[in-house]
Amino acid sequence: MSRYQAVLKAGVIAAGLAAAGTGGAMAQDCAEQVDLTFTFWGSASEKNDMETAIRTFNESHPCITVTGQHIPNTGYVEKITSMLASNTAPDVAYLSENQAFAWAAEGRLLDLSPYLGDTPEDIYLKNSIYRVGDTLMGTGLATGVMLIYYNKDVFDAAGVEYPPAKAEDAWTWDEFVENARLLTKDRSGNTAADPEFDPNNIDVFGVAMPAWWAGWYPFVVSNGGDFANEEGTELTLNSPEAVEALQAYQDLIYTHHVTPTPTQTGTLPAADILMQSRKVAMSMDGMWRVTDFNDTRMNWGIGVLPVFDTPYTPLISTPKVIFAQTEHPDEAFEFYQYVSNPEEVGLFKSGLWAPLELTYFTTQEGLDKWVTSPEGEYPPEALDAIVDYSLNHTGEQVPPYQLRNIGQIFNDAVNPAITKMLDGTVSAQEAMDEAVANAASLMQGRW
Amino acid sequence: MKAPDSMTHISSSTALAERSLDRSATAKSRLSKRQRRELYWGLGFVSLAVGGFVLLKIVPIVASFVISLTDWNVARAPSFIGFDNYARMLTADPLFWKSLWVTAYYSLFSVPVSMAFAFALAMLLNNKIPALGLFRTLFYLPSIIPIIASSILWLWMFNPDFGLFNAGLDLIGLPRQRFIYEESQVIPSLVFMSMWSVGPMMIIFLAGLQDVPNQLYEAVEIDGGNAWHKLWHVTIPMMTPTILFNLLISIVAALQTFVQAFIMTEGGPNNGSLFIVFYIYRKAFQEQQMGYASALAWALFLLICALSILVFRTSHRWVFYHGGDN
Repeated sequence: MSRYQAVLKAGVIAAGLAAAGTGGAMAQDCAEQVDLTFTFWGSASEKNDMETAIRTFNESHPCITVTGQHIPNTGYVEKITSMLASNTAPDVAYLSENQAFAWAAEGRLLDLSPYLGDTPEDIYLKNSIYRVGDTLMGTGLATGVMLIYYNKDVFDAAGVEYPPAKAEDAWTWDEFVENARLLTKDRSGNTAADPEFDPNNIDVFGVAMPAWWAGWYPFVVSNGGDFANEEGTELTLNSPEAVEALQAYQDLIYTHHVTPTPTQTGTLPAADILMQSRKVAMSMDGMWRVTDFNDTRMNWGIGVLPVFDTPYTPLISTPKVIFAQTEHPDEAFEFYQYVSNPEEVGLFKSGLWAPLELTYFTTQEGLDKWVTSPEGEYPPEALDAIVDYSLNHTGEQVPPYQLRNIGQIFNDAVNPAITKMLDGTVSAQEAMDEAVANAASLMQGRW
Repeated sequence: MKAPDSMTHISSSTALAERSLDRSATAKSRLSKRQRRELYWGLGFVSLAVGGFVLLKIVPIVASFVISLTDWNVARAPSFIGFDNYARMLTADPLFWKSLWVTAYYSLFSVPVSMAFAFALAMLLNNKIPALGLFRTLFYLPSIIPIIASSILWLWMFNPDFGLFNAGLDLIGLPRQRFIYEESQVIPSLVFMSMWSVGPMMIIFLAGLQDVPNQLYEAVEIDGGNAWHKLWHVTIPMMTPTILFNLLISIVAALQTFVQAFIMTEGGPNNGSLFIVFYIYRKAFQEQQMGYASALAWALFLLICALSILVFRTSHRWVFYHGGDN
């Protein structure tokens, strides 16, 4: 027994020494030493940048010590759910919208109205603000819009004009399809516009489209359709406008042969690599991909999405929250703001994140903090395709941040129907009628 | 050669246990100081295992039943709703029935197919062939590969456009298939894939085969029987205890299939591979319906219990223990 006691004692002494060591260095003029935990996800490089930001924060805030806990995306929800269930939730966290809104409604997340005021719309992009009833859950972490990326060399070789960067000049859907056909080539070098084109032997695809909602939803909105009715009690994806847009999306694959099938996409490498190896000419993807494209040596550019009626791109973000049981809300809020500050976090300059605050979009001084910063890594057309696009063409808040029970609506009704549609087994109309029928019992209104 | 060895170990330890039982029953009060100390040590040693079992198994099982009677989304305190979750499952959730059907369909085929395959492999590897060790290693090897890695590997082989299987079909002039990307083919494809990891079952069959007494085969030979007679009248009857064991294990494993759906298909296409465990996971962690997920878990638990009891109850009709039934 005495041996264990010795080990235990040694451990306690060591821990005491360590605590004394850090305490000695930190204990300057702090009334209290505040410890915060912060959970986040992200790739290895994101993790690095975030850890650097946390270190810088801790150095510049001697009275606050933030402990960052990186949790891989795949296990994040499980982990944070168990943390909440066992009352060990972090102070500040990234949170998927499937959880965030429900938890805010239950009062488990801090209402940030005292900090952000009653009209945060004056300060932030309106779609990056999240409300649940009277509770101001907070803002996103950063923002990002959906864009068209393209390989300039492939366009030059095919003699096709680059996709416009200004929303006002955006291609119509028909122009988009026409250009995509000129860019699609089979193994004998025929384009999809040639009569001899062989759709079973495609070498280069005109455009890669994402299968998740941000890949098709923008066109539904652009065509005047919507995801759900005003009250959020009915799915409206089978409206004529929505079905027209979705059918056009399906036609890219099976009628025009300019887009790979989902099974082809599923096992192909990421868009930046495909485009670099000239297997696709264009790819629709989020603004956050800029950072990946910067790592390639290809001659690339960005443009806005094609339009049906009105230019539209969804503003996508991840809720960033403070848990209500935090003992240090003021300090937590200080860190909360720090995480989304382009002057402190490198991810804004490197092209993963766009900011939340309007001044970063509307003033030259603000733009110089990210897009036009000397260390900024954005192509010149970003001022139109990202800045103006985010500011003026992002419409209303997208459904995942609005509808109750959205996780189940997607899982049980929308995703299976979209999968069938993209597999080409049913038409857009049939798929969406089925989705609407299956969603009927799941719709619970808006937050 | 291994099996008889371990048998003697088992029987000698059983004898020991019986002796100590005897002793504790008749002479409990007369434990010597030394015996008492041994008893404490013994209890101390098992306490970890028992404590772990109670804490990590019994408590969660009981807790999950209590949770299954509530509406709980983690954020709010659970509210007691009686058997509503079970009622919803049985009457108002088509996806529950779908997941049950998917799981049953998969199990019904994967269990016999993989057992037959493992049995055949074990028979082959029980012969005196050259490089026996190499073959045994080769066939066991897939079981060492983490299931995540092998799932990714199969994902590539199943790829309709540049996968190995369609390349093979092209070669012999058969039409291309979409395998796990088509609702009607996903389960047959996964059944096919289940044959890949029969290694452990094969090893158990192999051990069982080596336990079959040689004189029985000799008796068949003397009576003029051929290989078929040996298999049908000696090997299979003598192997029934091993078959029973493997049957139970693989039924339970098949009903708990998860990784294939999680890694390869996300339950799709169109919920065609919505295994019940994957459905439970989705309800619990994507949709935060802990109460309902617990109720689903209990439904699965009861199903496994019922099937196990059924197998055990019918086993006396077809399982033959050569040492006698008791």
